[in-house]
Amino acid sequence: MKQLKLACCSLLFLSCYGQSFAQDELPDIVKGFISHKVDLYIEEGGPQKLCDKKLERIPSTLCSEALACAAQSISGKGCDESTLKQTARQELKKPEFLNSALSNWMGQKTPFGFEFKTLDSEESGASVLGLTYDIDRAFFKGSEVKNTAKYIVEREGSFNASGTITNDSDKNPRNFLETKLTASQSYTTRIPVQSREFADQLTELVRAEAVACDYEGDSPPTECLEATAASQAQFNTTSEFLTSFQYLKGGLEAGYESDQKFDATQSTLGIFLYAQYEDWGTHSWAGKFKVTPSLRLAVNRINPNDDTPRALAGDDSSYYRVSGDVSVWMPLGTLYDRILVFTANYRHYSELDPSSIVKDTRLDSYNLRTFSLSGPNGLFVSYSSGKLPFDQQSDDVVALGFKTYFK
Amino acid sequence: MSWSSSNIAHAALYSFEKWDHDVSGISFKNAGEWSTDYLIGFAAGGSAEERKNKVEAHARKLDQVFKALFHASYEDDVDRAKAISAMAEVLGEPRKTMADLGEVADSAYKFRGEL
Repeated sequence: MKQLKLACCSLLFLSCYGQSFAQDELPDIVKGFISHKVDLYIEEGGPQKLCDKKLERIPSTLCSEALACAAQSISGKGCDESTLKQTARQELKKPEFLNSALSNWMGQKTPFGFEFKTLDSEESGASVLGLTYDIDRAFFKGSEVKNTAKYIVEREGSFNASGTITNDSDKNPRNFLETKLTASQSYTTRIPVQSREFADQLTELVRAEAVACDYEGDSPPTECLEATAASQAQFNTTSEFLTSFQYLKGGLEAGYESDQKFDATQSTLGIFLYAQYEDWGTHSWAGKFKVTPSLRLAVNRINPNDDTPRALAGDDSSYYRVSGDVSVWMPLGTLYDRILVFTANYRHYSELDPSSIVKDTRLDSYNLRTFSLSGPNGLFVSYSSGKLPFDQQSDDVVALGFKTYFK
Repeated sequence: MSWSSSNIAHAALYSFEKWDHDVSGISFKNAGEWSTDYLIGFAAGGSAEERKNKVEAHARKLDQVFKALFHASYEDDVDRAKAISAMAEVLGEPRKTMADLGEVADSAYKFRGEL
């Protein structure tokens, strides 16, 4: 970090003050020679090359502009300092630079999950710089509490805190901080342990497959397809002793939610249940279509203070809220060398027995449905409609309406 | 170790994820760039809790596949909870890839070929 600051300062110093010592004392022929060499250096992309090679921690645009400016100042041509300062202001505030500086300073794993993000603020119509945090700690986790032939049963207690902080909270489009304690029990399908011969055979097959499929280009060679078919045939045999892989989880959660200034706050207490089903073969309709469905249901009692949106509308009473999240994930095969997956997600939130004030202000029920075609590296097309309660909005939510993501 | 077809943990992960996602024609190199959202089967628009649960399910599935089907054992100083937690940490970060997961799997498990 020190080196980075030093390099930034040196570049700016050189570019701003190089002019003063370069020009006055030199004969014209030397000045002309220096000027010619500097022009050549800039034309050949010298500053950019030096930045890429030696000064990669400095934002590329700022680095090359500052070096070019420094070179021009030495040759007597001078440079536009205000443009350089403007570039510095912009580049040094970019999340990419700040995150990279944070990683260099604190290591790859930043404490508290700190990350800088650019957030689009609807109110101000401009982008604001936000610092997000996400702390997820388990106090007891992953130990089996019961040994059954079908399931691995585990208990877990965890603490989670997450939120986004901006310099001016009024311009924060994600002005919501959440702290949560969860106690849960989960059931994971137990995969029967296979024989040593099975394991050895599978190990050899996947080893051969990885080597045969380590090719360049888009079309897989025959040996890759053959090796893949052989290993997949071995995996397919597992469906003889395992019909499905399931993950079930239920528990209690207690939380405290607020805005950045802690003006609007509410406490929550509730129960939840999550279930995910994956057919391990073609034992059901889900297996035949390779569909993986999942479902999360929760009921929470919410106790808001006087500054929450609902209380400001005229009802500050405690209430129960039911929420559901249903997802379907289905591979569609390959189209024009692209792996395609269809996904559908439906989220629902509704207040149980809402007052007429809450109903009239339409704060009692929210739905969001999202459909997408995606691939292993992201979305291709998405369609989303509906709305979420403010305290459930996040960066993960897909833009409303149709959107394409082709580059 | 970077994503390598000669690494047995990487090979096992590559092969199983292909089978699990019903894909056959993909190079080892390109599959290394698969996003974690794709690996866990996350549906766009889903909640943060949904992602967390899918991450937990997938990490547990991989642990069992490595242990029950490949007879892998845990590396020294690694147990089931630590191995699952390390894989879940990578799977929960949408910008990470299968290659990143491979690195964690290689550090947590000893496969028969490398015993």
